[in-house]
Amino acid sequence: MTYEEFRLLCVSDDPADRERARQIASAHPLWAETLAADARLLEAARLWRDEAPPWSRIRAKPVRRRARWPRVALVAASLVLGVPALVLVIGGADVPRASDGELLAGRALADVDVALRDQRRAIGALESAGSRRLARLESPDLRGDDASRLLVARARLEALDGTIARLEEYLATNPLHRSARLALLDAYQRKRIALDELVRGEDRA
Amino acid sequence: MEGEHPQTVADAAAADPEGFATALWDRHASPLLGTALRILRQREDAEDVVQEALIATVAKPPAIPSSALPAWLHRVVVNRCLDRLRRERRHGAETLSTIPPAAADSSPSPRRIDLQRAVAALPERARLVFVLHDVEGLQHAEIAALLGISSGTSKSQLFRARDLLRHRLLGTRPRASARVDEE
Repeated sequence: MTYEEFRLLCVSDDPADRERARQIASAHPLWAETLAADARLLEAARLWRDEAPPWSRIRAKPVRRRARWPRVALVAASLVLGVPALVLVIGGADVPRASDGELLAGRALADVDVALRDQRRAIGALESAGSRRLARLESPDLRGDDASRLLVARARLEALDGTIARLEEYLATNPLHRSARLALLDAYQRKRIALDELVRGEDRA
Repeated sequence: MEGEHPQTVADAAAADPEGFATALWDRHASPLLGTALRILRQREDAEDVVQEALIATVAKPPAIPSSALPAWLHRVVVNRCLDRLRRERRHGAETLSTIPPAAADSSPSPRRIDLQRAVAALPERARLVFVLHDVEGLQHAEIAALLGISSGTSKSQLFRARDLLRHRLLGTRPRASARVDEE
């Protein structure tokens, strides 16, 4: 028997093959040494298998640590979305709190997804009309008060877009994070309202 | 008769979606992360794979008995890890053999570090077969199907891996005498 044939018996999934390898090795000290070394390796492999490194990303139940999204997103959310969103995001003491790290699951996830889709659809329908209105900022004939109104609307939309981008980026890696999803939904709603006001305001003007 | 049909994972998820998600992460995230780390060696990649696998399980719970869930999740994570390795190879990502071993999470024993380092230094296919067979407990037929190789190749890669590890860790000679006569 060659060494390769012996080793194929050693690594076989069939216990009968491994038993045969043991019998052969019993008459050959060097191969017996190989089998003993295999046993030590397998013991080390078993210890390695039992290792379970701690999970550090969001968990399926509330955890004590704060949310890990960028601090700038918190600031932006508080500026753009107002006090209710700030309370929602950093967790106020006197309001129902979406706990850091808490997951949305099952029906709750589906409901938020449907609401997000609806808002995206509504925003998509308004965005081209809003862009046309904002394009008037380039016009030399624009009156001063109209320009102010459009500039305010544009700044508001840009701030909301920045917040939405950060929240979407965060959710790309933490898709079930409850607070982030709800803050994103709130930002979408505010963007839809901002676009709606821009379009209606311009039409009235 | 009651108890004849064990509750499926899908049933448990439908009955209590929040509780199901909570239990999923609490019970399975950590051991699955261990498996993913051993295959991928990069913590960030391993966490991505486990996160994706658990989210997919919440989105579409399998209609299998609850007792089979750990093995099912283990298989899903192994598959996803191997998919990721294949994608990385296709996209010319960093050569796997040059990736340093993942950082240890808590003061490990020297023996553990030695094994991890030695395994990380193995040729890629031998490393994968050793991890999948000797650490993760898969059979050669399963490994062959997952890696697109024959069972014979899986066996020869495994004894190659064990011989190299034995040489590096235990200082024994890489190969014993070439032939013995069977009685």
